[in-house]
Amino acid sequence: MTGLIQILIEGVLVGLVYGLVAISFVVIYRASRIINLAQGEVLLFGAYVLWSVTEGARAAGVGLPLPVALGLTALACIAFGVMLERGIFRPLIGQSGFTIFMAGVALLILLRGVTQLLWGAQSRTAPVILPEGALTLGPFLANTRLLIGALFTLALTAALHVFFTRSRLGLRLAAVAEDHVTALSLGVSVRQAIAVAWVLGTLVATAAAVVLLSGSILSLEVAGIGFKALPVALLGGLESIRGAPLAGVIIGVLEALATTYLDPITNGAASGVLPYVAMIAVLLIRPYGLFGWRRIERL
Amino acid sequence: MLLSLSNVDVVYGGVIQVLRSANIQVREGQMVVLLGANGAGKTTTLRAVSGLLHADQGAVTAGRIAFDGQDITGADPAAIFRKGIVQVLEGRRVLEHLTVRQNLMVGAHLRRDGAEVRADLERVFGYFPRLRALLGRTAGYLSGGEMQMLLIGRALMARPRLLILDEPSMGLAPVLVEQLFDTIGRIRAEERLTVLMVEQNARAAIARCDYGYVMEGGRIVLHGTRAELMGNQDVQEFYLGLSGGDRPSYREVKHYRRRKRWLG
Repeated sequence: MTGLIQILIEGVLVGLVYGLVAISFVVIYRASRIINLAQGEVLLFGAYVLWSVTEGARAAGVGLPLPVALGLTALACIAFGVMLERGIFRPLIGQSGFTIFMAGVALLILLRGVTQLLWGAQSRTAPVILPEGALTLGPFLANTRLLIGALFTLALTAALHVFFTRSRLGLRLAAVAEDHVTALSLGVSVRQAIAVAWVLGTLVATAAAVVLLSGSILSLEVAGIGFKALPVALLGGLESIRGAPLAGVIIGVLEALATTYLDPITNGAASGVLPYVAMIAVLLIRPYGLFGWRRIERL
Repeated sequence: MLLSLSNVDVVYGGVIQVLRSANIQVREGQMVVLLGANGAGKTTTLRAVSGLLHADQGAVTAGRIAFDGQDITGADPAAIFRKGIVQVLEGRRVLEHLTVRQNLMVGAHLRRDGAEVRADLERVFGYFPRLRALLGRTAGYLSGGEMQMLLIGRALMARPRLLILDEPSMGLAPVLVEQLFDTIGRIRAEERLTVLMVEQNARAAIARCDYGYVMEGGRIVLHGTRAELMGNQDVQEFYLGLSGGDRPSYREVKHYRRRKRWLG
């Protein structure tokens, strides 16, 4: 029993981090109707920039205080988000879904290549930003880094919900998420809203990179988290910020259970494929996810 | 003159001319209606004013649109909105997954005067008391009449100087149409609002307008004050469905010739 609860705790914490990455998909999708397949590579870029301004800078003899390093990383990611939107996805507005899908595939491969070119293929140690160790709760242990990440995900979800329903800028983004022509007729600059959404999405992905990688191994493989979070975003509903952490918990717990009980009898394959089994099931049974927007049909 | 269109041509996709040399004048405080059959160019005229032609690959290729003395021809829709021209699109385009309150607040998204916004919200409830009870409801599940109230309320939240309505009565029961037009009349009187409206329900629209334009095939074929329109035999026959008692109706036989004369 204790073992099971420990597994559940780990599943929930990891799942909430998946939820964080899923939020970065959702924020971009809401405004632009684009699923950025290369979101994992965007996260990777953020992680390498962070490495450069911390460990990299220290190795070069210019140690920066952590807040400055984080600020620089955020700025670089804002610029990167704007660049992706302006350079690739804005010119594709109005093109078919297939065109945008292929652009996403191309971007994914391109970004991996560029990352390898700039930083090399070797693994390195990511900077320690969140405290290491584990919190003891009675007989259970919770990884401090993941716990902080999970709490951050919940706080961010609440904050984004308030932002999208109360603030003037958030309501503008919500209007764009609904319908571009209606938003235009209400004086909303759709272009500006999409650019803001990309910046937000890139920043959230970078925050996820900090949580995921603090003190662990940074390599090109990290980008795979993007494809792990995609089923989470689909399950939660691509328009739903609040669906993302919930779906993350579901996938995280299922994955943790599969790791413990199914992996030993499947040569370790079960936990790896489980999110994608879930993804296909969602697409077949409820393509708009748990909380996504079904077109409201009125009788 | 609050709004004036001078010799405006609109072309879609670079080839299809939908509006030919349109001249429309709207004075401050007036209610002006555009009448005409489907495809006459009414919605195009409205979209030319509000800057929404781009969404349909359309563009103003000649002429000038001026609002309050400033040229707004081909301007960005957001810039036009900021000048005080707010269009309610046809087809009841509420933001359907947002609540009624959020929809109303989107109308006020450019305003920083929080207290005034709240006061305006109360004013909207004054015109449409029903909306107060619906505040927390998801807009997509409202009835047609409620949606239309919400759309006009949302436009009012932007404090427009010129309100553009595209077929507000479409698909509403006759009793609701009467109520809606009465409320629009009240709003005009109390807010001293100028209204430019496209309406299929010619009887209701002409009875309440100050001035009207009749469009056909992308041209304005007839215009006049309410009294002039109501006295015009063509309007009586084709739009009000009256055929003068003692006068033989040329409705069938002369229709084609009348059209030709108009087009000339």
